[in-house]
Amino acid sequence: MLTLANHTFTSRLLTGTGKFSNATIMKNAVAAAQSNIVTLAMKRVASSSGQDQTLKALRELGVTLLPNTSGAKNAQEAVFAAELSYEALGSPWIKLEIHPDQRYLLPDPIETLKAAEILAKKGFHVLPYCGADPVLCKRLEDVGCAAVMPLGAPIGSNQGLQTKPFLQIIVEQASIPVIVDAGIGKPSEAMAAMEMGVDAVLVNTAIATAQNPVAMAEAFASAVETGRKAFEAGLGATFSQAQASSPLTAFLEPAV
Amino acid sequence: MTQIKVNVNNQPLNVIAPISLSELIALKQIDVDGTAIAKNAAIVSKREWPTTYLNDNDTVDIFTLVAGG
Repeated sequence: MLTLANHTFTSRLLTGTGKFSNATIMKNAVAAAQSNIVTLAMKRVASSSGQDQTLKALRELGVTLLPNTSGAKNAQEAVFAAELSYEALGSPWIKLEIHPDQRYLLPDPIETLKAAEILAKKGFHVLPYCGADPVLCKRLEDVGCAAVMPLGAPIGSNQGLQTKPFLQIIVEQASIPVIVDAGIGKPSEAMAAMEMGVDAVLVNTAIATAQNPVAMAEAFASAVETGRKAFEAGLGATFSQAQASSPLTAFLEPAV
Repeated sequence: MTQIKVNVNNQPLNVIAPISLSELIALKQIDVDGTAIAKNAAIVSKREWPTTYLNDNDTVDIFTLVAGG
């Protein structure tokens, strides 16, 4: 069970809802992923286009909604976005993301820490998207975040766990859940993250842009479950030299 | 009944006063669930929509939840 802010969830796979070709495929993929927590974004209502069907589809699934602050370029904008999403949904969950740079979408650590502190004090359950910086993750924990969400690689890049050694340090040091967000492109990478002992992973692009998003969501669900099982079973140690797994008796030699 | 001009999501809109935020949302056929409103850059909570009326030259920003990661 994954515990966040005293709430328990059976699934350790969080799903993002962006980039799906339509709301029905998104809904079927989220159901196939068996995710309990699903992310959304907030934007100004466009006057010309029809209303986005994402929220309606997710309400039917009964999942916990995790709105993000995407688009915020500093702490002040992120706090405003969080307050808007609280009014929109009446829920304190917020995925804090502040990435002023459009090319790599890397999170601004200083503004993220500032906003996290303000939002945690206001009573939000803050899940900050952040760099895989172990020191920053401890600081985010200190200001009251419900979890940390370090990146594996840039958002939507499908590059996998480029930050693996640093994620390992974050897992070792954190007293709150660690959720690897961004960059996971394959089920094997999600499994590798879970084997390391991260508490959960968030996947969006890799599922949404697969040829068959529903089948890919199933693949991620089983990879995350298997990775977690392996972590809980306790992985064997690694060695630089061979360690015999059969008795090395010289049975071909004549008996003495 | 007087006509007033307000700015909704950066678009000018002529409406007949008095008009509350609840009536504006209904007029624009926007679902209440998942919607938040800021009037003159200050967030107005949903329970205050029925009693919050628009004045001439008010700026209204309407936000909603959409697909995102």
